[in-house]
Amino acid sequence: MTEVKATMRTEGTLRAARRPKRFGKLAVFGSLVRHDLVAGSVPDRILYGVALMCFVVVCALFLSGFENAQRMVEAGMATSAAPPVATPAEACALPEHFSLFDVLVFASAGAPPHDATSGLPYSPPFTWLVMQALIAALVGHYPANDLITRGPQVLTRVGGTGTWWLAKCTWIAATVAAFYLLGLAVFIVFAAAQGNVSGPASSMLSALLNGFSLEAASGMSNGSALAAALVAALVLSIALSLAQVTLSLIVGPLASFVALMAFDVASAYFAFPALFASSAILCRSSLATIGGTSPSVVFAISALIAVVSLIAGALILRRRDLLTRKESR
Amino acid sequence: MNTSLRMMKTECRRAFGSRLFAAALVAGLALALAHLVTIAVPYGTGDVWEVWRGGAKGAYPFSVYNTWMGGENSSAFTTLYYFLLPLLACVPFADSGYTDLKSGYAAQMISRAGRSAYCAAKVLAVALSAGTVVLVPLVVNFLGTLLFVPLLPPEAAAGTFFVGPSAAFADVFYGAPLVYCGLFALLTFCVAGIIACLCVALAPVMPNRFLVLVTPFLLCTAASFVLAGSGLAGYAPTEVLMPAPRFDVQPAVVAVAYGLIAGAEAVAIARHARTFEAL
Repeated sequence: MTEVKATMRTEGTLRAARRPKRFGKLAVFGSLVRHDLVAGSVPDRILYGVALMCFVVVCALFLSGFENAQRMVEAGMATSAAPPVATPAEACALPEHFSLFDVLVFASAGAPPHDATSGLPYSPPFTWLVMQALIAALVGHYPANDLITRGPQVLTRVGGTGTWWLAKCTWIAATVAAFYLLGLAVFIVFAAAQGNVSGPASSMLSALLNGFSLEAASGMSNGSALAAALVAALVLSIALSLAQVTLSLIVGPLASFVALMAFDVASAYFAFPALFASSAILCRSSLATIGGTSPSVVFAISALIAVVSLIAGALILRRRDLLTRKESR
Repeated sequence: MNTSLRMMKTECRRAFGSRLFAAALVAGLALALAHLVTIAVPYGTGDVWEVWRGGAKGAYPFSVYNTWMGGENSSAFTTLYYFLLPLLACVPFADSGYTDLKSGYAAQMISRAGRSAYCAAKVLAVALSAGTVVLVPLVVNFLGTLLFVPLLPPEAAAGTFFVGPSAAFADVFYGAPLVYCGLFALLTFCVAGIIACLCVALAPVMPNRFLVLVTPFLLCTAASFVLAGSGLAGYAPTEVLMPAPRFDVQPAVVAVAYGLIAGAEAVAIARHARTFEAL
């Protein structure tokens, strides 16, 4: 049934491609995007399910950490021999209910790079790595496989590779955005059920849970700086996904997936500027650490990677021999 | 019997003779050699470590057992190697179950040799190739480290060995360290085989080759993520294979857990074989 539906969708795309010229490339592009959004997402439903479970686990880990933090603060205040020196504001620094931003900060906190002088074992930031792995798996296979299976038929009728490639890039951006939106939806439901959705992130809670406190960036309120940092993470993910798929057109989906995972682990371990994949990790941003990466730098890097990937992908497709069919790995 | 042996030879030849086996082996060896160059060679020849080598610092010198790739858990290449281990294990031959089903090769082989012969040969070839790809770089790294760092027995009082007193087989490590390394080599071989055979078990239900190959890696990473921060963090696949453990585990629990996973895979593969219909 799935194959029949896929065939019907391809036929719909081909009919759109044969429309009179007055509808133009825009109609063809729209048909291709609609086709990709459905056909590209069907094989990924298991991965979306795994992503949903991972987001639920993040909520569970956050809740456990929040309750521990509350117990720590209460124990600290109860065992203090001296009269309470905290001002009423400081005494209430740990909120009674956490907000959505507290959960978002926890989910994107990551970990600092490895300190070789400490002599301690290195523990990778698995929360961040599993998110990157899921995104890479969601986008990694569909464009390269579609090029081999339906690509020659569609490209012949569309009359070029540019529209097809732009449609795929749109699908990649939509898939990454859908992943982040899924996470946001889970966190909103969680925050609404356990705490409150609105309200700023607590600096003290972040210090206890994540190991860093939130400092206001210059010229921006804490909330807007945090929102910019989180949006920067989304934009960087889209850019890296575009680069991954461009690479997959040359070496195949699996090799590009392995390369991206190796790059992510190296970025998490080291603090080199060239290893920019971790620049969207919140604990390394200017919000959390002096000299950290500012969201504007992340936006600039992402834009550069995205543009280079778009152009490189278009050039690769122009020279690619599509008649040699072999299912890519 | 003859047919089964011939089938096993054929599958093993396909597994060990493929370009992907060579590519995965090269990738693993590259990580092992990079670790050798960045960690073992400086320990053995660098000026910074001269006082440690001569014992002039009053401290126990470094030994192979806390220098080789499995003996320490803080370098980038060790981290990268154990993180990518599920991918390295699956790349050589783990997707052959999927490709054989799609191409019709499985139907041809089953009609000639029978379901059990084909499935047994497939599982054996996948497990052997996965274990070999993962184990050879570790062995090469250990032997390479021996060229630069002495084979001094571990000293618990030195404080520079990553195996704590409550770690699994700690008495074996400090009493017979080569046996300890051999135990973990065997464990790595077996767990790599189990991870790769997961691809064979999932092959009939996955939509494409890419997802067949990356699913075990995603599951291992998700397991590390879910178990991190809990008392079970050491049971994640990449943690349990490290001879320099970050967390304490119970060997019996590891054996039972991974035995159950292997058993579930065997049941799934047997079920797929029984219900396979070539027509």
